[in-house]
Amino acid sequence: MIDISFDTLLARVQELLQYDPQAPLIFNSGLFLFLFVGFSSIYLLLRRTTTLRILYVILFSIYFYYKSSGIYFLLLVFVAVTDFLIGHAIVSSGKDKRRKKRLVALSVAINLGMLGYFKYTNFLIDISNQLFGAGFLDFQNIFLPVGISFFVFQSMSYTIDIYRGEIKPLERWIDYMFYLSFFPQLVAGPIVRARDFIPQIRRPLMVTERMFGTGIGFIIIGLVKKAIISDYISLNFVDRIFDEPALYSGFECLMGIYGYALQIYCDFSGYSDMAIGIALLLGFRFPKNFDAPYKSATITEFWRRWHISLSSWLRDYLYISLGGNRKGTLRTYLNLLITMVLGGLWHGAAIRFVLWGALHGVALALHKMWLAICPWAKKSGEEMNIVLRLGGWLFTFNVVCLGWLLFRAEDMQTVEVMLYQIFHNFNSGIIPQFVEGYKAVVALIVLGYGMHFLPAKIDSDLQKKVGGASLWWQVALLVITAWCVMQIKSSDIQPFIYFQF
Amino acid sequence: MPKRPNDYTSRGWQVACTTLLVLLVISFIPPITLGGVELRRASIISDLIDHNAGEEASQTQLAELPEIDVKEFEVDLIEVAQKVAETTATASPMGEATSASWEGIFDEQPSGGDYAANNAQMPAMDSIPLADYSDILPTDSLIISIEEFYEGEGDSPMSQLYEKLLAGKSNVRVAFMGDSFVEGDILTADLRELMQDSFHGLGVGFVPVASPFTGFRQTIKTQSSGWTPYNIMQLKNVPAPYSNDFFVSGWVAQASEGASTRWDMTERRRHLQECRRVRLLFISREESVVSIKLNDGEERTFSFDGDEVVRQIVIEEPSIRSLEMKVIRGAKGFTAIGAEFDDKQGVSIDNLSIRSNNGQAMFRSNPSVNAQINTMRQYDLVVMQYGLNIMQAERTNYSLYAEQVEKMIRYVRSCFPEAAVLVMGVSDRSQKNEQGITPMLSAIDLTEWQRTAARNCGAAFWNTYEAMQRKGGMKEFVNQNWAGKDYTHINYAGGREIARELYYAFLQGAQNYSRAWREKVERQQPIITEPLEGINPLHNDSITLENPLRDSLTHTVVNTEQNAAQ
Repeated sequence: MIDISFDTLLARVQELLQYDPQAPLIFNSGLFLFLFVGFSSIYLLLRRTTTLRILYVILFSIYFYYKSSGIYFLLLVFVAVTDFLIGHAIVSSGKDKRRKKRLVALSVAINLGMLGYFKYTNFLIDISNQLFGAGFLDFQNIFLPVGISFFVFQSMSYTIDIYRGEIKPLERWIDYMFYLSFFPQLVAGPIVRARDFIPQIRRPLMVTERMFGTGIGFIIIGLVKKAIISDYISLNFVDRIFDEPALYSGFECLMGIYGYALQIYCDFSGYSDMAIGIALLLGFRFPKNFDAPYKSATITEFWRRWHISLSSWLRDYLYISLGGNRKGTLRTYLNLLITMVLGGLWHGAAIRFVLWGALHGVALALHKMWLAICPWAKKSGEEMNIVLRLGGWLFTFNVVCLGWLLFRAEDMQTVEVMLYQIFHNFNSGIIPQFVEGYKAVVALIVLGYGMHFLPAKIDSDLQKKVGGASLWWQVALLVITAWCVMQIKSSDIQPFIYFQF
Repeated sequence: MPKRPNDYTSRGWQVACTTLLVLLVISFIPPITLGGVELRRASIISDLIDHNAGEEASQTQLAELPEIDVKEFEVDLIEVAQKVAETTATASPMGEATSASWEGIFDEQPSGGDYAANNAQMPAMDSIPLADYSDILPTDSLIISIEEFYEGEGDSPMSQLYEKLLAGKSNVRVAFMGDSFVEGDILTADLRELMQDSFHGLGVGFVPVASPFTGFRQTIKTQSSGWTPYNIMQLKNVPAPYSNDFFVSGWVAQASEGASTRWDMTERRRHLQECRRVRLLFISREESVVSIKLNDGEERTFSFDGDEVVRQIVIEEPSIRSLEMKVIRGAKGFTAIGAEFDDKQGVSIDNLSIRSNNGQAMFRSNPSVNAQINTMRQYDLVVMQYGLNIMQAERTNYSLYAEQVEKMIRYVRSCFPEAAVLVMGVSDRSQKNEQGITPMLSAIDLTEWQRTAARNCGAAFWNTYEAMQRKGGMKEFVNQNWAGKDYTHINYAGGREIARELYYAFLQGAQNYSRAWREKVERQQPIITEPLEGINPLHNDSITLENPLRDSLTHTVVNTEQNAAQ
């Protein structure tokens, strides 16, 4: 029997709605569903009053941001103001190239300066202390505003594209603020380019059957990936292997790495799938962010399928700005390496991300070299015969997994221990016990990779079917998914299982 | 304006609304079991309403579940006592004929087992310093004290332990028996470091010769080859006669020809970089030859006749940094039990952890092996850290287990009669449900049952659960990265937190003991206090453990009249 007073309930609601850095508003929460229902009802009422609707979405987005980052929503407003003004100043500079250059440099400096301060200050202090002795500099207590890496990159794409003459600046500031703060992509991407988004802002609001079907499909798939597969296998399997790898056999360590490869993919792509799906329901199209990356047969192909909005951003605004492949072979390789190392650092302020980026940079450069030397070498699996493709896939997948090991391990000692266990203490005899003991984990890993390797056509056929289904079918699908998510959320923690005696 | 057939703009809202309504209804469906699968309540409003508030946990299902499998670990304590008595009557405490030392056979130098040292005249009572650890200890109310339930005559076993710690003249040996919670020297690594800071001592204590987890242990580096390790929990898979060779450590390793193990001291904690004594413990059923290489230098070989008894090789050197042992001959009958690394004085703490064990695994060890090892290395304290492998989320009654805990205490006392016994209550643990991560409240019940068992046997008790609660409980341990994501096992960082609390408890116990002792002596006789040079065990200047006798009483003749006047 539930016994709760109205006042208590009200107080609890207030508490839930307030800023709490420990409880950001995430799409796979019950609170988001409540808020989305409320939000979308007014959104619909305002569908014909564009400016009012834009203002309303901005306010909701700011609240969305405030919920996890509090007062730091002002940063978002600040960037929107500066880059909006700089965008106009660039255009009004006419043919004065030096002024234009200075202005775009100012925009980049403001954005990267902010990112650097909030994300990398303590990392640099740590490096200085290691170089000049402990206590050389004191660590600072700096809050990392959620999603800063994403909106800073989005905003830079706007000013750089204006500088390059690829887009015209927006007339109204609220349109720019709308672009930058649009809540579906605000905290975890995809990084939507100004040139892709701007044309959609004032277009009459219209969701087609196809958009709706794809949207619901993306939300369901995203929930399954993020809140079922990723959350379950990380808590019940992957984390514990990475925490104490020496306690586990080589086989378990290898499964831990393959599990992590699936976990990070499901986590990252699942969340951006939900973002894409929600945006579609609101009438906006985002670019595709992940395209079954583990199907890749070369590392170059991997980077065309993995976090596409980031890799294409890095290509267009960093690699090409460094000179791309226009300055000779050696410079091309160097540019690739620099791009990937900085790309690695973008993921987090730690050496392990730098190492991960470096590994990918070297792998990409080697593959480019291989393509140049070997006439029959191919860029992607589709161009290969089945044997080569399989070999390439196996090799690429394991290189990528080696990268994930560097990415996830707390320190180099963990990396060493895991590799040692895999190569010296594999213990394949425990496989049957492993499957028996980790039934749910194994089932979810099989489901995750199974979904991943489904032909793309099945995916799009399913989306069509979902879009065309009746309202009740669509509700039933969502309810079943949400129910599974809640079962997983409240499921028992799998106890540690020790196979080695 | 009529809606175009392809316009789905409002469909998103409709779907979201209906989904929300259906989920709200579902939130009120209680947990059900379908075809043996337990389905939790799927509540979208779990952040707002606690559906379980006020509901009594159902005990009916639990009553049908066995609390503990006693049969699998059956033991006859009378038989144990007899075996121990027979062993101690026949085994030579000096280790003659069973032992070899780096310098020669022990009968030439009968200091072999520490029996002699342990039975040497204890320091005179008036040399116990008045311990004052106020610089280290937090206020009393913040310390989780060791609870003593001793009701016998004379000093309690814990008091004897404190006395020995404070006197600082001889070894104080602790057997820390536990489960996976402390596996890999978690908790004990830090407890040892702190205790050795205060009371001297070097080395990691006992380590197995070969096990699948030696790589996990950070406090000593072990490289072994040519051994087949056996675990006491898998007794069915252990062939005779090795199944009868277990010490309470729970691991033995059977040699193949040329089997070897190399240990390197590490710097993972203070006092571990080197030690002064190593004791190798094994059984040699056939004639065997073992070679020992010390510090990558000198190598010696030792020969043994075939016998069922536990053998030891003791190496004493001013600085031991690495040691390699190799079975050159007689591998077939060679069972390695373990090695011990310590000093001739100070504290030595053995981590004797067996995963998946609720404590009963000790009943499968051989009491005779235990007794023989105890003659060589007399334990002063046995800590029993168990309970995680018996605790169930909803169970509150652990009476059967409590009976087994009492049996464990009696078993330990049979095998290690001089040791005080300290029962550690079960650690905190969390579980996941619709409210997220919540504490497993049965830990409170199990703690109470463990305390009752300790009380019934007159043993000591320490409340691990309370110590963890003071630091925010298991959820906070995971948040701080002190524990694993199973919300059950701590890591080294978490071990350090608990070890510090336990260390405080020992210091507080020693401090209180010294005060009580002093009061007692002062009541009985006037004493003349001179600076007690040389008897303060706390020589480490970096630790501010002062002997207040030096400061306040140095030139004072204290007698009972003066005390009364004050």
